[in-house]
Amino acid sequence: MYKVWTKAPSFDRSKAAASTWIYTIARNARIDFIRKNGSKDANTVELIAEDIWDEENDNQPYVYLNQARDKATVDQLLAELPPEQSECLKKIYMEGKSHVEVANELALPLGTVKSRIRLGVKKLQSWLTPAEGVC
Amino acid sequence: MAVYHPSEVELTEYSAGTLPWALSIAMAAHIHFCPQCKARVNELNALGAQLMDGSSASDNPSSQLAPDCLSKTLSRIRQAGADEQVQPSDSVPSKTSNSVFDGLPKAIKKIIGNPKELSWSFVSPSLRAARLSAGQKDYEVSLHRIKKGGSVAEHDHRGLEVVVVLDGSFSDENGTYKPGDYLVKNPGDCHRPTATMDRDCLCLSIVEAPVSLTGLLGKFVNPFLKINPA
Repeated sequence: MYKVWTKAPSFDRSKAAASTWIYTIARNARIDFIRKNGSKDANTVELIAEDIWDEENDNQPYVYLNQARDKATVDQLLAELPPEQSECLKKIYMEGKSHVEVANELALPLGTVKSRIRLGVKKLQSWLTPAEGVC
Repeated sequence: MAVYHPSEVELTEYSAGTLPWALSIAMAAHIHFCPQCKARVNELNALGAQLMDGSSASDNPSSQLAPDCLSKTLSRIRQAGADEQVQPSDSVPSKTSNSVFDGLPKAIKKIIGNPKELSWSFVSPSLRAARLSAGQKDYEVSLHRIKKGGSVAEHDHRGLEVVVVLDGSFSDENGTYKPGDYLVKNPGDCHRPTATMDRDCLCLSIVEAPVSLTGLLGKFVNPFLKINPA
């Protein structure tokens, strides 16, 4: 929460919902925390999560066109997602696992976990950007 | 505009922060050039936020907050306010007026440092490579520069390779790749990249294992190829 406070001046409500913004700060802090505590070379460059997950430095209007998400939409989507799809997504987001680790834990083929994630994410996309064409 | 994109699984892991560090750098490079995938990641971040919001501490006993958490945080904020100083915003060298490097994503610029100090090594007459130190031990991260019109020897892959075009373009049997294009190659994927005639092609390459040259040349060279994750 300290990081959220120090970064508060950079928050732009037109770009993202506050919860999403806080999520990205918390995620970056977790990544840096894990990396700091893991083994690493002494002579590594000082690359931090914020350099890679560079949310602030983006001013392409397209990106934020639909950015202020209706929280309820994602909430409702999560409620309607088949349990096996939301389970995979929860494990990735909340338990910090890769899809390979999720497959191992659930004793499922890799392809099954991949397709559950893909289906869940596609649904999210179709809900949030219904009118959009190709990507 | 990029034509070749990462998969939903890779985008999800990137948004969740579980994609390996080196591959996250490749993803950052792609997103720098691709507003659609940037938008996808923003959607996924909203999903992450919602999941974070919905998880109560009782679901996960290890995430219980200490009773003095709020007071500690508040005192830290007060302390920071007391000795607030304007810090230099970034240490990335920006004085070099090299247009190719100026347009690169932040993370890549940072691990390159001063582009003039990159140590390019000779790989073949058309290919130079500069290894980068990304702060991890699983993948070799490097810049590849293919001379305009030049070809790289045909090769297979002994492990995962992710390539992101940063400047210029190259083609192989499967297509033409422009800045931002994100290519994933696995063992069994053979190709012979050739840069287009108009300019040198600069790519970011993340490899898990050395490539494997095909043909007679490979028989001699392959045993000596190794990677240097950093």
